[in-house]
Amino acid sequence: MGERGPIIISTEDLWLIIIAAAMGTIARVLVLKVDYKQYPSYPNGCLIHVVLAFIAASIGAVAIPAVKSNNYTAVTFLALAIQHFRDVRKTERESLLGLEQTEYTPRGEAYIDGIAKTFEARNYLALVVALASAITMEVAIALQWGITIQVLAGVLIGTVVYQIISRFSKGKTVGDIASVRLAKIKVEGTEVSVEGIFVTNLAGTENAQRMIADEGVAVIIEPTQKNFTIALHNFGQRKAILFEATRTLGTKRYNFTRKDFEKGWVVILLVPIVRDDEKLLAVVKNTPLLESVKKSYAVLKPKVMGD
Amino acid sequence: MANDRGQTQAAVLIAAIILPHHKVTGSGQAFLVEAKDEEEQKKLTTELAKAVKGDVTRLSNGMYLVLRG
Repeated sequence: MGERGPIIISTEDLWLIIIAAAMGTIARVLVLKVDYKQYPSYPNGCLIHVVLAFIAASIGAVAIPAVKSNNYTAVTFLALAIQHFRDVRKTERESLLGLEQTEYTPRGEAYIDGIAKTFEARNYLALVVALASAITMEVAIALQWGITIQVLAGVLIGTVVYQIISRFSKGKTVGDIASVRLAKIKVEGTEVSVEGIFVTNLAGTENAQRMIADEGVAVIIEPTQKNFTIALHNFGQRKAILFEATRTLGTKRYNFTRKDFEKGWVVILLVPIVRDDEKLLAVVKNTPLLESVKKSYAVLKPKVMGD
Repeated sequence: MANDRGQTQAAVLIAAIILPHHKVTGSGQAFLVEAKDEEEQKKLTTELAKAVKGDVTRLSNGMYLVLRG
């Protein structure tokens, strides 16, 4: 019982699995930090996704040694992994839908769908980066390069693949297709308008009129091209923008979005708990353009090579 | 007030606060309150709106409506 079993894995393969798994996990951790809006900032959420990423990366890392050892059936666990990642999407979707009634304003189905898809896709990122690193190191082994070169090659290709996929999947934000600026609110009796655009006539009490006039803040989103209006006017997209604005600044009571068909503008009006105009502008600009509302090629085009 | 009131256009009419000169033949499911003067009308409107967490709009004929999204 004291004896160890026979060595069934070579040093090269061990390095390959370690480096590839590490590269995949690091790739996931990096996007976890970058995309702060779509990812959990709370510790347990981070832990769940890092562990999931490690498992995804490990699957990618061991695929090549499995094939090399004539264990072709072992590759079928990639299909199992895909099923598992789909479950991750489903779980995330259910979790966010369950939280809808507790938020200041709802995220909306479109935003939740986008976030859930991103969660799934980021696991593929970990898997593909690990797989690319593993293939590269396997080629380096076949070319009889030294262990240092093998590791460096694996890290290099893993980094390149990470850069390409993360840029491809990052998508665009409202700020990429529109200009965002603060606007003046006008309260006339029960009617509230922003730069001539009617917003609501629900300010029937003096309290409401005073609150909106004194504490309200409004932004106007102007699309830079006429066809971008289609994406910005989408109900799901406007919900997402309002959600991000109210989540960042809070909302005391009133929050509205309105669209103006003549000018193509979108108006966001809210009475925030914390007044910070710079933050409001930044958060509106950084709201992601939802996948489900991208209608034109110019909006859909990913930024793989930068603008 | 529902958290998506700002998004949806639909609102339910909870109550109408009218003055003696208003002629309302039927208010459907909405609660109809007649105030004796404008001062009382404003007071009743605010009280009702607070109670049901509703929003208020004032029609051009002086009638107040309490709505909830």
